[in-house]
Amino acid sequence: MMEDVNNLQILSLGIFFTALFGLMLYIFGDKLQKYSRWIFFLVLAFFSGVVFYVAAGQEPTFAPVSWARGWVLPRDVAGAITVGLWVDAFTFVGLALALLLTALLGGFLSLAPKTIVWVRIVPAFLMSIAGFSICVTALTPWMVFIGLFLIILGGTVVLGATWKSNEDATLGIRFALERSSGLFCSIFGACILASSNSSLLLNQQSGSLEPLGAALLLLGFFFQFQSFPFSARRFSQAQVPLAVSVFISQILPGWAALFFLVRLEASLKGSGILWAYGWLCLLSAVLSTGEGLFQTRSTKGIAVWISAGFAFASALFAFAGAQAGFVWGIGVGLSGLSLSLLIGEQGRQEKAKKTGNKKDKIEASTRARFTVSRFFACAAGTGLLGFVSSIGGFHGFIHGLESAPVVVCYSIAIFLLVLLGWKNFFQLNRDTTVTELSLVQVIFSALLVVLSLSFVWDGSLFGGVVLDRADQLVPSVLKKVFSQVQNNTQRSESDLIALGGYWGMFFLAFLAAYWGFGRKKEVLVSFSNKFSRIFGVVEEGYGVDRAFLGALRLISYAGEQVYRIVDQRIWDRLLPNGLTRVIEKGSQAATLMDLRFFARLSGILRSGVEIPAKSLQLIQNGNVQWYLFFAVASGIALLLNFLKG
Amino acid sequence: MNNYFLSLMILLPLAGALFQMGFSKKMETAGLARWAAIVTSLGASIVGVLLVFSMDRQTPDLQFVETFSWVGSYAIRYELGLDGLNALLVLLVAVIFPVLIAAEWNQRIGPRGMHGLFLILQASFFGAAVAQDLFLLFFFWGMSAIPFYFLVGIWGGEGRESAAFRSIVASAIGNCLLFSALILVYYSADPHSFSIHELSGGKFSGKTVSILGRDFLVSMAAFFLVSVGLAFRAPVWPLHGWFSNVAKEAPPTVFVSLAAVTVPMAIYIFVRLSYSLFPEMLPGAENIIVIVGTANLVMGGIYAVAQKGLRLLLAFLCLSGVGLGLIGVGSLHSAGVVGAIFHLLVFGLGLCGFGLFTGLIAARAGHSMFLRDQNQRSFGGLATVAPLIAVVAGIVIASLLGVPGFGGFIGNSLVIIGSYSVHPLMVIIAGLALLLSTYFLFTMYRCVFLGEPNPALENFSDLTLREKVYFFPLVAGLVFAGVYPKPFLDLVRPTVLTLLSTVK
Repeated sequence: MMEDVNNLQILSLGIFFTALFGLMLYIFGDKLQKYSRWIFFLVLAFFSGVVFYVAAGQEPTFAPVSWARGWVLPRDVAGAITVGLWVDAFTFVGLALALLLTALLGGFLSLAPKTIVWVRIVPAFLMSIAGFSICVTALTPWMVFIGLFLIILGGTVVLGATWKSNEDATLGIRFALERSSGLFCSIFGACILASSNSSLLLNQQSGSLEPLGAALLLLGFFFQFQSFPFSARRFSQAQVPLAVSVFISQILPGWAALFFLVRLEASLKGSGILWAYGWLCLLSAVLSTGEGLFQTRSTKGIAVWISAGFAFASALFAFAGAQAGFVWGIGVGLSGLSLSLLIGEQGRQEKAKKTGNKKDKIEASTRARFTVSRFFACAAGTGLLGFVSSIGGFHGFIHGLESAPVVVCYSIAIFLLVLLGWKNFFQLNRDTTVTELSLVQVIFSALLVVLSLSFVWDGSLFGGVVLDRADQLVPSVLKKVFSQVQNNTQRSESDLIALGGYWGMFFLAFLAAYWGFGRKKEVLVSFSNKFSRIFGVVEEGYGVDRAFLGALRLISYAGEQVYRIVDQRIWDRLLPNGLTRVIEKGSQAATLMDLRFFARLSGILRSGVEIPAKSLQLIQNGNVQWYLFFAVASGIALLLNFLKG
Repeated sequence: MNNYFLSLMILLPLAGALFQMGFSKKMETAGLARWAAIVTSLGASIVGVLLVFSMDRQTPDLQFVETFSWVGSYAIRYELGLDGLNALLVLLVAVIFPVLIAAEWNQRIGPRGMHGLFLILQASFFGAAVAQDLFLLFFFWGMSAIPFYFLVGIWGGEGRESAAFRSIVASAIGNCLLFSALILVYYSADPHSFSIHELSGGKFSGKTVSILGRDFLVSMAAFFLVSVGLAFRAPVWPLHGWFSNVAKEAPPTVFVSLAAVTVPMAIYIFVRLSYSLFPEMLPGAENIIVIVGTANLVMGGIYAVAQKGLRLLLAFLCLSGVGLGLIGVGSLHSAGVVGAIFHLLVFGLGLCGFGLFTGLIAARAGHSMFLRDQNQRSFGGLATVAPLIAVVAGIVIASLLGVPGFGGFIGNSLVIIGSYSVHPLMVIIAGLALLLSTYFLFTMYRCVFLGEPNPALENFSDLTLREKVYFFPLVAGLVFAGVYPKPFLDLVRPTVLTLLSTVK
């Protein structure tokens, strides 16, 4: 046990140092430009070594090991925020996948003949990998939030990789704003759950979660998919290789969200909101694919398709279980990354268009190489039999058959997703001026396609979709991770209907894609050009951006008006002028009253002293003196007379 | 037995302020005066920090108590003490004022005066934080209003006289109401007393006072007077008009001392007085407190979205912060109140950082408007010429937004956790307002630091050594509080639990 906890601490240190290197490179990287590529591979090797060491310690059972401590307030107190790590087979799957892809991309970038801004991309890689590692080893949602923050930071850095152009800066900040809003929404939801004393330990999920808190938590993670009402199309225009921006800004956040959903499955089922979440994701997937169908640039189309795929994976998770959603998400991610590696250089596209130089046109054999590579890359994410995504697609149909509305919407969603996927394929192939793809791109793309085979994940050739496990060649990783999932060994009638429905949708969508985009005349493109105003709105994300900016302008206007009225008019003019006037008038009135009172008082005092004063004055004058003397003398005489008598 | 460390903490800055008067012009030019200022300020801060970190975290009682009779005939005592409620405020003051003095190191106009006034402010705020006698508390609180009049009136912008006058009038009105409450409380107690400890625990329940022929409960009247009096200085919307005016005119460091220290201090005094003296009023008043807090948060956000300058953005961020603090205070839940007190510390540090980098930008670029008319950016690309400033600004903004790993996250989360169970609707509205803050802070960061560098700012320099030194404690504090908040929370919790037990 102690050894297990030590291993966890070693793993956490590995994650910490990876994140620290990423941050330091980001801050001081300009001085280390020459060495950034070496630092990248060294740190990656270091972290891979740590993961391998810890994994070796957990073999062969990969029994779950966890460690937790109170972070904010003691653990036993209501409202406490707990952090911890949880490591099991699922964790190592996530870590291995992320490290492998990072190494592949790093190798691809080193070999591909491009000018790479390594000093920006390396920190983005390291921070994102550290963040993703935290997400898959988190014991509580609070740890996942920290991981998500690092992933968002990495995505922001990579999208604005040059940071010296306004377009890059706007792109990076837009990404950060949208993702952070989701992060804060999830944090808010987790706080509500904590206040209702829900257990937020992912390895002790039981009972149900408070609905509002759970809804906000899920909504925040939904934001990470960049599906409708958001749109991933703009982020495909970043000044970095498309594969890098797709991996760091789309795939890693999407997978982090999916991994978290898988962890939370048990509690979400009891909360009663999973069905609502599923419908939200399904609707979002459908609308996003609609947007993607009208994109004229293949880079935008692929970005939207990945987002829609993640939303659909979430819907599968809600309706068909964790495994179905997880495998579809893995398939879409690997497929999208593989396709993004097969995009030609845009600069030379432009040049070729201008010069029409034959040397820049692709030779037939090379074109065939592209086509085959792109075909398999696309197939990996559209649920073609033999790829891991087909497991999810098939299970979705099995579970969806329980409810008619789900079947209908699910069928539409599958149809549109597959249609969009193959539309991307045909659109890429139409571009005859694409430069010669290097062998490096084809090899790395092929490696990703191999990773997305059913064989790698399920140990069987067809993922248990067609045959009754007769094609099982090696033990299944999925079975190890999703041990609760029952893999039926016998096909029932409804399974066969599901299989038929699934394949029917797939081929219908493929044919529609060929008819709409694969022929000489692009039927759908011509149709949309006729109604460019309507479809232009769809292409631009259904006007959501405009509505959002309009709402912000309204709030800004409200703020200006409140400031003008309360601060400027009331506080700057009305109150000071009013108070001044009141004080002035008051003091004038008081002064007037004072003067009147004083005048009155003076009058009373004057009359009070005037009579005696005048009397005394008369006495002083003289005439009165004599009258007074005779009066007094007479009086004395009379008195003496009376007294004598 | 009295130990005099708290008095030392208060008197050192006062002594430093007196020293400033004694320095001659020659000594000022030689720099002796400013070194004396920073040494005394740091000395007091070190005393404060050491006291806080040597507190016993298990007890809710007052520690390092100093008490003796001051004006015995009126039962006015010189009584100081440190507990969980004021410890974080002491830390806040201890960090911020040396930083502000360092930030104004190269002040050319009357530096002795400015430093002296900052030292008086530091002493006043230390005193107001640790005072346990109502009269003494009011003495220090009232004293803290006066330096702002001079700081704004002498060193401010074009409209400085008007701004200074408004600040002193608003402070005077608030202090007048507060003083009325204290006198009412004093005369209602039997025997008369100003001691918070003696007056606490619902001593006024049932007592009435006759005003204009009508009887009012003493606790209700006093609580109302205290609330409104502190609302003027806090400031609480819509009594904030003077505050935004000062934001435009005051030097950034002066406004920082107002926003980052005075505002948290006002909220602390409100918590101290209402929880100690009028606990029976709180269950009835909690809805009003939370509604006022939510209104502040929402209005602060709406104002901030419309701003094009950093100074007013800072002012309205402060308004939002007041709102969040009040929501936590009004929750009457241990997590909410603890979160509110913690929020005062990290919010103060965050606002200080924001205000200081606003000052730096204004000093180097000549203005602090990040958007002009027609929403044209006037900065841009500062991260390429001044990456350290960009990083510091990024950390401060991350904390203000409540990003996990920074101090703001802890305070925000605790407030929401504590308040949701009792006021769910208000908390949801508050959450929407917090989302709005994400938008305007990201927009500001984009406009100032990212994008194509403005050719007019190619000589914009990065942080100097002095600036790195004074930003360091702010940034380190925000990160430390966000990663390891346990020491701070352990300090606050016992006292808050004791106060809440009185309320309930």
